[in-house]
Amino acid sequence: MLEFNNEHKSADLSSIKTKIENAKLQMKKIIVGGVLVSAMVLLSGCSLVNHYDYQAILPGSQCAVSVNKIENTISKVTFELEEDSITVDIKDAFILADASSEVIDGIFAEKTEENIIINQNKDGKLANSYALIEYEGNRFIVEVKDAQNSVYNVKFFLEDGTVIMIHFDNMVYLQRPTEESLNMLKQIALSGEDISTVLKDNEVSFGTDGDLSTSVKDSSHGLKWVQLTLEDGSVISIPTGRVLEYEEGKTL
Amino acid sequence: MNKDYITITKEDGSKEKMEVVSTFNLEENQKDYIIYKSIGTEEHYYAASYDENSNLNANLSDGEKEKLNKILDDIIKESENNVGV
Repeated sequence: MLEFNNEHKSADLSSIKTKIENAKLQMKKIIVGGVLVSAMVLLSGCSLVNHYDYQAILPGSQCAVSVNKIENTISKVTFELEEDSITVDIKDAFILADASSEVIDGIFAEKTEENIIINQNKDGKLANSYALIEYEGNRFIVEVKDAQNSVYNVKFFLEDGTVIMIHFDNMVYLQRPTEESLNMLKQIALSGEDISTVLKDNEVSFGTDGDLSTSVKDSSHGLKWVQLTLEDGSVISIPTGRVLEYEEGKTL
Repeated sequence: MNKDYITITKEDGSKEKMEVVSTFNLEENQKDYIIYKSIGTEEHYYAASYDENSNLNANLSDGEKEKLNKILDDIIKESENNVGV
């Protein structure tokens, strides 16, 4: 429970001020992306000004995080690439978390060699899947954790020790939408109960310039995974169910 | 990841070092907030808004307090979930 102490009059914020200012500047840069802005506005059905409760930029990364916890609607992670932005929309919750440097070091050492590692928990069952994603020397390690009641965590381990943790309940998708696809996206994002109906046996491409596209695939048992198809033809699949797949040697 | 610390100046002029839990901006009112906690065996979590001169204001509305408490709950919950990951 928080305390609100009126006796605390001021604080020396110099140690964190730089981070705060950098975050604000970078967030402005991210938001300028035209397609992305349009998509956010249309998806949310409201203006950008009121869309997010708070935003954070992860230090040393090209990753912007927009969080709307209070309204429990859509949250986003935006990876700003050289010319493109990739937005991951998450339904329900988004959490920023820390992890110990020991964990980070161990994971990086493992991932460099094999790219994908499946860990086992104490019961011998498959617990976590990892994938290494690289973009121009920046490494993001993605961890998908199989938790109870089908809630999954995706973690992005950055080299400076920062960890982005994404909890997603029913689905996550990568998108780079066109206007034609926005109606479909709105259905996917805002109508959780209709996901299986909307997407059943359907495949939707959200590609714009032919260099990046996403496909949403489904089966009779509901949404299974979302694929991000990259320019070189490689595919990253983020499943809503079990395993995050990553093709060895491909870069994002 | 390194922890961030701040030095709080109290009404009586005394100072106390605190650990930063989170800083953020609420878009709805464009105010900056900080959540911080005391250092020691007994942890106390505090929250306040702050201005460009680093002046703290803990005299917040009920709505602000509710949101800040929810954010802290999420942070703590996530921290607990992270154990053993």
